[in-house]
Amino acid sequence: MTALIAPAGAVALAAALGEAARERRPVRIAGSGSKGRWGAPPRQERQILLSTQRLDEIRHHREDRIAEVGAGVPLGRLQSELAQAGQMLALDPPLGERATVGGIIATGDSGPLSHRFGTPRDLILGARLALPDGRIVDTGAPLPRRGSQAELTRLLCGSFGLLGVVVSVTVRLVPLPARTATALGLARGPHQLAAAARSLAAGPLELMALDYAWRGGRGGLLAQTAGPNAVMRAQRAAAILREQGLGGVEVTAADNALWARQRAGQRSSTAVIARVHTAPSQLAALLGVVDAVEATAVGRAGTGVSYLELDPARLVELVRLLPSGSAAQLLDHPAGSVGLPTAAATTPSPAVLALMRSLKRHFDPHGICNPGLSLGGVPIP
Amino acid sequence: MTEAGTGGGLPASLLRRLVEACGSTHVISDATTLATLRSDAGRRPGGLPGVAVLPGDVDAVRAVVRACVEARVPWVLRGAGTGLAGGARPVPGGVLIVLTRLRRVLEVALEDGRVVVEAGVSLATVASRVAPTHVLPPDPLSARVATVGGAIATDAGGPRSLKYGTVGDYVDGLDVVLPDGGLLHLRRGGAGFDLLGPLIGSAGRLGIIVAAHLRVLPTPEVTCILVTRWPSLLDAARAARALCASPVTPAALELLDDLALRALADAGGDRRLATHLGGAALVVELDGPREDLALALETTLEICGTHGVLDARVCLEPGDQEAIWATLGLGHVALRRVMADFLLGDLAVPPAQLVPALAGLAERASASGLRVAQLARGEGILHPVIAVEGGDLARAEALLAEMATHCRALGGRAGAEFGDEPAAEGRPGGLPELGASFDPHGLLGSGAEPDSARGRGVAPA
Repeated sequence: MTALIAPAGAVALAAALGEAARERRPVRIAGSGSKGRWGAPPRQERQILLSTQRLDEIRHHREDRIAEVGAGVPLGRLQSELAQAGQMLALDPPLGERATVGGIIATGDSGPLSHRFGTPRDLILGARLALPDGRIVDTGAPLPRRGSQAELTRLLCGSFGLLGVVVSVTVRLVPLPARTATALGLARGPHQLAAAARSLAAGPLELMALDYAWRGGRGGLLAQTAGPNAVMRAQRAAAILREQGLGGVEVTAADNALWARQRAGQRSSTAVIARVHTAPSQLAALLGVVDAVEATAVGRAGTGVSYLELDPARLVELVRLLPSGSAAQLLDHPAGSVGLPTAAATTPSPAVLALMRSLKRHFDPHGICNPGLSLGGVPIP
Repeated sequence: MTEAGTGGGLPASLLRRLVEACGSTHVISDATTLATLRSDAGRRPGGLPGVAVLPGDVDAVRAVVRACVEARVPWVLRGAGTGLAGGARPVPGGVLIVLTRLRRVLEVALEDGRVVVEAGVSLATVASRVAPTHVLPPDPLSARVATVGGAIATDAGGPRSLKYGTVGDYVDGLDVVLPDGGLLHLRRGGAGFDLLGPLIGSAGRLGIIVAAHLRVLPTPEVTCILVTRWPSLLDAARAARALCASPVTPAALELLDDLALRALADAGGDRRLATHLGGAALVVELDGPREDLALALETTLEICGTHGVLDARVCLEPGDQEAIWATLGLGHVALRRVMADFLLGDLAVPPAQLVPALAGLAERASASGLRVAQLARGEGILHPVIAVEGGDLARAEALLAEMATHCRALGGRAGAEFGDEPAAEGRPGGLPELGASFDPHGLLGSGAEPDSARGRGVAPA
């Protein structure tokens, strides 16, 4: 039996959470469902499905370049509202039209713009959090610089709702670029692509995004520029791609579809998605691994974050082959496939895992918030 | 030097173990030296520590921590002591762990945009090791001495935070000694909770940062500094706000009033900035690819023009720019020449409230009759410098308190957030759950009294 609740504010939400804790009822937190399979949530008896849908308020402080946003606000709605004032939240994860801001923060999801602007933890300034004992906690402040308690603010990013429910967040905004342009080229081998990526990343072009796509021994590199001179700068990026010997180099100002394809590569409906962090200098080695496990990859060539789509049976091999110093975690996987091996992720050391479990125990002593969820393949009971 | 009768009443066995861990020359127990370690740059002293230790490596840090835990003696961490927030103020009678001897640069991997350093390395050392191709942009003005560990523990900002965020945004990994002496290697991108997040800005409350992996950025292609002069500080502030509302994102916006400019001139600061001309100055730094910079400069000059700028000078030469930053960095030293003694405020307001905030500070200053120099940043950071006249510190403190109240009323906050400020409703000073997870014995101090900001609330299950 699943009960569905959709509280309209922090007070109602915290009260509902407190009651669930008293009754020891598991609470599954749901945004739009765009990442519903992440963490392989097990079905729970007497589960309460808590929808953030009605936490839908946006308070835009234009002059301060910040916004306070309800957890249930779809990113698409937020962006169109901010765009009217010439600003944006520099987050562009897949399914951004419907994915909620709360869900993006809770999963730490991001897209190509993370090359320049980082991930949710770099853009979040504060949060209002409902704790499982019914308290409401404000972390940080609606100021452009984090203050005390920023500690908790950043911890929420990627915590998958295991510590409490994010009611709203305060985020830093950036000016919406007047225009963008993208330089792209095709590489015939891992080393060629990696070398081109390195020289673009080390350059002074202030790229918005620097992405690659790779499959079966070949791939492409995309560099996006923004601002009134976007095309001019993209041409400088294109010149670097040519110098590095890439083929089919071109510059386009109509680049939306290119980047949408990159974002789409971070999801899969038929295979698993592993997110891999590698040092950018190991990109060529990683691409070799991608080929070895017959995966398809997209990723951030400058920051070393890659998304590999592959057959779940190859996961263990993937982790074994990764260049040293890399970390892998499991994100998306096909519906119905539960109980994937924990070996599919680079597991934290026992001491780190103990600390994570200690956090979970202190914040959620009765274990009611999203119980049974595994974080990137690591179960935090 | 653990002479008889010193050590603040700490158990002899603890002192012995501290000497074993750090070596006798790095265990300070004489009251005169200890007294110099009571405060950071924020002026208000903490308690007199029982002893200060300077561990020379990570193992020594762990040994110190284990000794403290076993003796149940609280400790506080200190880097170079340049912070304004009180994070390094000692717990009376406790142990002060000074991390400035952890100063090895462990790795410089510019092809990955990464440096790995120990916590006691200064930001200036990082900057020089990655120059000229790369920069660590947040760059606090105290960077010459401020340590990496301290900058991360306070999530320090600086002039360039306007465009580049705070030091914490550049942390990709930390090695941390936990309050039980355990050592964690935390890296961005691992599965599970992002444990780097809570440690950044934790003021040493959760663990001891002993090494950090920092992301560095390619040096901007062109950097340009604009020194502009204005009839008054409020005129300059209005222009700063207009710039922030425009599509231009300056790297830095520094505001200085007449008194500050005079002090800088007296201290021999760069003539382009430091003068006795009266009025106020706004220093704008722009950086980026060359095409964009030309446009940004044009827009900036236009905005300054419409806001009544008296004079604007463009500095493109790196040498000139260094001279201007050096002059800005003189701030407090220079003010010593015009104010024998002063109190330095650390206030923040939402950027949109910068003009009313500065106006309110000026009103309160003139009502008090005390001399006040105003230094501020376009993003809403205010550093009023209040003269302590005739040794009357209380009067200066009262004025600073009024200023803080004014800023809070505008939606801002006062500094010293790691201890001084009483917890406002709904904003407890550090959630007990967080502390309890990292520090079950509750021995890590943060300049606050051990019982004020911690120890309340839920006991571990």
